[in-house]
Amino acid sequence: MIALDQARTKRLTAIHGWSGTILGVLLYVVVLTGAVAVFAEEIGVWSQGGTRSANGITELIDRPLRDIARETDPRALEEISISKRTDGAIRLSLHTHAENPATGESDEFGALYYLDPQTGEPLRQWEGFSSEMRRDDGGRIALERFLIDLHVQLYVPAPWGLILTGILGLAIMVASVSGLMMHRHLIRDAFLPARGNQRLVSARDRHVLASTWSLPFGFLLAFTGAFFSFAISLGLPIVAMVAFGGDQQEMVEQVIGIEAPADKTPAPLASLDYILAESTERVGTPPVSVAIAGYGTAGATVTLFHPPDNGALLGTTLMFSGADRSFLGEKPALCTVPSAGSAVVSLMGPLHFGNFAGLTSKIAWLALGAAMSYVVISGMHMWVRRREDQAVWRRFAWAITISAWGLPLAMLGSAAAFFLTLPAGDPTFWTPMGFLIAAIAAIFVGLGPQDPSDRFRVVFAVSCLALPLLRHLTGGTAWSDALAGGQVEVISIDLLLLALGAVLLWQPNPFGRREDGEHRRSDQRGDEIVLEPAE
Amino acid sequence: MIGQGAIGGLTRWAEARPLLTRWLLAGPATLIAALMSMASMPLFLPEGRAGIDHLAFPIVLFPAIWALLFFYTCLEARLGRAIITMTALIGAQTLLILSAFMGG
Repeated sequence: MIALDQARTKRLTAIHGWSGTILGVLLYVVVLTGAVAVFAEEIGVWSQGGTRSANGITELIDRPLRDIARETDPRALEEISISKRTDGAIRLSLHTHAENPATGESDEFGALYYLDPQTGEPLRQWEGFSSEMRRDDGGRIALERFLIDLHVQLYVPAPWGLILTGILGLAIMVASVSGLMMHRHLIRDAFLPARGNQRLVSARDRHVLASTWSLPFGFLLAFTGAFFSFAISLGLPIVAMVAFGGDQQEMVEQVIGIEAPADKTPAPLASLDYILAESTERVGTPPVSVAIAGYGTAGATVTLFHPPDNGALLGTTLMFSGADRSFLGEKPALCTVPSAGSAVVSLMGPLHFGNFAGLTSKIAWLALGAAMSYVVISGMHMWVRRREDQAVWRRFAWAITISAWGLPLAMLGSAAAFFLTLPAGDPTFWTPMGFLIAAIAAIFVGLGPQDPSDRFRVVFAVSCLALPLLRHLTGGTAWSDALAGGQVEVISIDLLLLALGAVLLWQPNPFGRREDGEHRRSDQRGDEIVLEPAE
Repeated sequence: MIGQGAIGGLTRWAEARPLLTRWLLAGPATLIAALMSMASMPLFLPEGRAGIDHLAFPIVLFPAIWALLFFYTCLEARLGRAIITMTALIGAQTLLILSAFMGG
């Protein structure tokens, strides 16, 4: 604990409690959906069914690109990007930048194709401004996109959703730092000993234990999350206004290191398949995205991004000449030469997404995210319990319980709606609707004179057990096909849901018994100034 | 003398309303100061080898600057000093940005 006088400590306690209470439900939504979104890619594979091709771009794409480029407005050949979707399709975007008359803002203008990974034939295609095209992609990635959108901007329109999640990130920073400053026995509480009947008996014990372990993680996630939210919604426009007279596109191009080709003499692109193979051989893994600048000119460059591999923290980006396929060198994340700014910015992604050490770090991020979710809910419960003699706080306690169980139930509802509508419906529409319907249903489950926790536990457990069955019945990948196709995600997520459902049905209170009267009183000693375990 | 009198008057006004003053300092004043810091930093930070450090660091540091100012305004015992510090910070950065716009 940092030495603080009583007035400052009291002020910090009020900040810690009120910030968590006022924004608590939204914090819980952002934190829990973030913990789940760590596995968004795996959820995408699990939910889509079919056979997924290998990670990264391993297909021959030179011929399809040339065929499409011949038919495309030459202005749109200024920038070409190629990436792989989780359903296996190749995403090919050919675009320039122009002012969108509908919005008055700079937008990508050109064509977008989804290509069959086997034949290279277009599956779908759109033309026009980027912000107005697509979304109508058959809905195969609707579930993972919904979960990510919910976490990133709470389904609030841009830029307000990003600003809102940015504010929530700052709130988590405040709660983490104030918790650290108030904490009297940080190290001791990380190893809180069992007491009495060998259980962590009070809600405050459990809150302190979970928050002690997740404190550094919470600060890290809040800082990087606030960076991502504010970088686009506030940082880019403000810095561009000062440094580039408001031209955000020019700033983006300078920061990313996109340079217009110096030599615009017409020249055919060298074999893209050769460059892909060469880049894959140099790095050891196939690239997940390719960017071509100045297609059809002697100054064209091909930039290939390879994800981190073999425990590396950061990915690798290589550049080749588009005209003669010669290797130009390794490119930093930002700009074309190494810099401190690029190093710091490139660390933000791995630290926020937890993907720097493969499955191990993702599981750690999921577990710590779940611990943070518990910290938010238990903190709100503690705050309310001290005020439960007032009717308004008792009603708020009810709302916290409904939110705590309702959010995971609603996420299961969105997945159920996705599975039911994927074969013949519109999953892009019905996935968020499923969330909404399940959330409303959760409110009804929570109504009634008795504590709804047990009702929620049974409903949630049954939903967890039913979802893998529903996935299978609606044409999802069978376990035998998943095993044959190496899709361990399908079996793992099914098993995780089944295990969670079984544990909740079998163990009525998996988080330990409810606090008894003695410890309940210890939680009610008024607004605690110092957080420490009861002796 | 006039300046000292004004500061003294402001300090007395603030200390008579500590809760409101601290809300104003930790809320709008901190937000404005953090945004102004992000806007002014590209004007004085070194560009670095790649010419992007002065653009990247203000955006990366924005949450940290906000948090630092937030805790300063919450924990500073002397409200008058907090008012002067925040006013000076916002004023200096406003001048810097204005001079850059008018000069450029």
